[in-house]
Amino acid sequence: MKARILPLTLLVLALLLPWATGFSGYILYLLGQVGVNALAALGLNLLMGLAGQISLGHAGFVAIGAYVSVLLEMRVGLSFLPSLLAALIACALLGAVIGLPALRLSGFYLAVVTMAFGLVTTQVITNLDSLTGGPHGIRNIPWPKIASLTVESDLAMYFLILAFLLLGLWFYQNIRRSRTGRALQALRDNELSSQAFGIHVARYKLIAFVCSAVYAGLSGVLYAHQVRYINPNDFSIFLSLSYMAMIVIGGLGFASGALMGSLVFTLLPYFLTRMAWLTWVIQGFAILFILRLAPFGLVGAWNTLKLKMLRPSSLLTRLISKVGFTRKS
Amino acid sequence: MLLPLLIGGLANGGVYGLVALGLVWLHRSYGVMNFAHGEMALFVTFLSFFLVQLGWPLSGAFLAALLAAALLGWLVERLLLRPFAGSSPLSLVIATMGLLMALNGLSSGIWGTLPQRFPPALAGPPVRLASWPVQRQDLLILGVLVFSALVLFGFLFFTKFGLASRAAVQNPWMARLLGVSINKVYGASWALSAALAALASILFAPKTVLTTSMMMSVLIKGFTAGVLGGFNSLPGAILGGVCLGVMENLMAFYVSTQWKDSLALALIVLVLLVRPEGLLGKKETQRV
Repeated sequence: MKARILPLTLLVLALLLPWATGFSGYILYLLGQVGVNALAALGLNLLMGLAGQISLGHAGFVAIGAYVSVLLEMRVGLSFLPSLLAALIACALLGAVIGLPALRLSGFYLAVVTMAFGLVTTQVITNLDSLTGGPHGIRNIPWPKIASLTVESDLAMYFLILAFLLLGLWFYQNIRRSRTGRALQALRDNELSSQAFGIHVARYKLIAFVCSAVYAGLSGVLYAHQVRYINPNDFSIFLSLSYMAMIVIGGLGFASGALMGSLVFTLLPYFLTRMAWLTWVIQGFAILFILRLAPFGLVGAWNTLKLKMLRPSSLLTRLISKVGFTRKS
Repeated sequence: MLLPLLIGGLANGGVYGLVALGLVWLHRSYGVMNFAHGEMALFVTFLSFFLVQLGWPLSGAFLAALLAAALLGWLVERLLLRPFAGSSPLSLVIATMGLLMALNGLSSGIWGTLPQRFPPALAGPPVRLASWPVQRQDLLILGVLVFSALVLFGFLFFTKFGLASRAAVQNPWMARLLGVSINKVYGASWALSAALAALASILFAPKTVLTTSMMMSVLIKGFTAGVLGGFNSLPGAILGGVCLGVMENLMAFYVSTQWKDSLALALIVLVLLVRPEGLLGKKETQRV
């Protein structure tokens, strides 16, 4: 139970946050964006942190999720949940098509193929302008409607995103500790020996890739319905790169790492509005330094720090014992 | 109509081939796919544009850019990637992606994101070749491609350092035991690869506009060319680049220019599905 205290406190905080911010639409919108990016980062973390494969095309899946769901709603007239489901299925299928050839070869090829996929996706969306509105994008996307309930304020949207984020976190933690998760971690650490233990490497890599594409698609659906305006430039390769920065700096393989990274790098551009380039310089150098100094990111660094602090010989424990706990007993 | 299409395609393909050459060489010798390859070239292309604007002659600015590229490549290996020696290939690749972001950010921070016109090395009216007009820059690119391929070939097969590099590719440990300074070979590989990329970028920039997003699609084409050639064969990289360039141009003319970039993705997926070892590559085998 002790290990659950921190996540539960965070959850209560997240639930109470709207009241603390005085229901400011702007802050809720930003926090919603953090959640949306965290979902995609979580998916990438499943692929990169657990299975050790690199994707540079997650923005492509985010775009597909966003466009498929919005087009199904606005052109076909489906409601929110069925179109969400269709978008996720589309992402899963595309993930399989893109991942299948690359994942049979060494990990580099997936990075190359997905990078090409990301670039081509935005280009295809731009070119199909009669369907997607081309470079002008799609405006006035309707608020999501679930059964008779319409989610039509920044506050309600915040809670909807929070609900999906919790679902994503729950799935991530469960798959991590399942047979599949262990297989993924085994093949990340040593592909050959995991194969010798009977793990079907290509199949498990594909499972990881498809799951992470679905996460990205979900993030896209929520993005489209939160911002209510999408255009192909929102999903450039730099979005994929920043997902990568988020999880590398937050902590590869940790669900909390994706959250932390998303919090930092979603909000950073809002502090540097006049200097977008500086965001990229900071992200790039942060990746290089973090990889070198703390390979498991901020969360990993915090974990080692905690262990060091709680050691009997550490300064903190000695201070505490001097101050009184031992004297009293 | 076919001849100018072919020559234009060959010229674009030459650029892709030059990019792929550097990528494949680094992949073979250093075991990393360098995702910052394009942005390193972009940075020095902006540098040479800056020098031209200062009033330097074109040739001086180009030469300075090539030297700067070699220096940048060497520095990147020495300062950013060598500290990662011995860590997993995954973190090496992530490091190159970090470098990609940092260099792209720096380029747009220093030189801005507005598109610029980069002066062609060979200006002037198109040459008439069998009564068809052919751009001078295209001919120059083909010349440079052939020239640099020959220089690289001569360097690898007729110099002592080339022999050492080939030995280091084949078996780094054994080469080190026999007295090859691996670190020098690595530094030289990075310098060489960055210079090739810069050459490609400087030749390509006049054919489009110089922007900070210019090299991203060229990099993808370079990767496609490499995959097409097998990613471990240097002649394969050039052949792959040239094939891609020609196919692209034919498709742009007979189908539509809009779908040019999609061809690259379709080709990569197709090659990886049907013939992962590419046109000229060898099958990758791994000793257990």
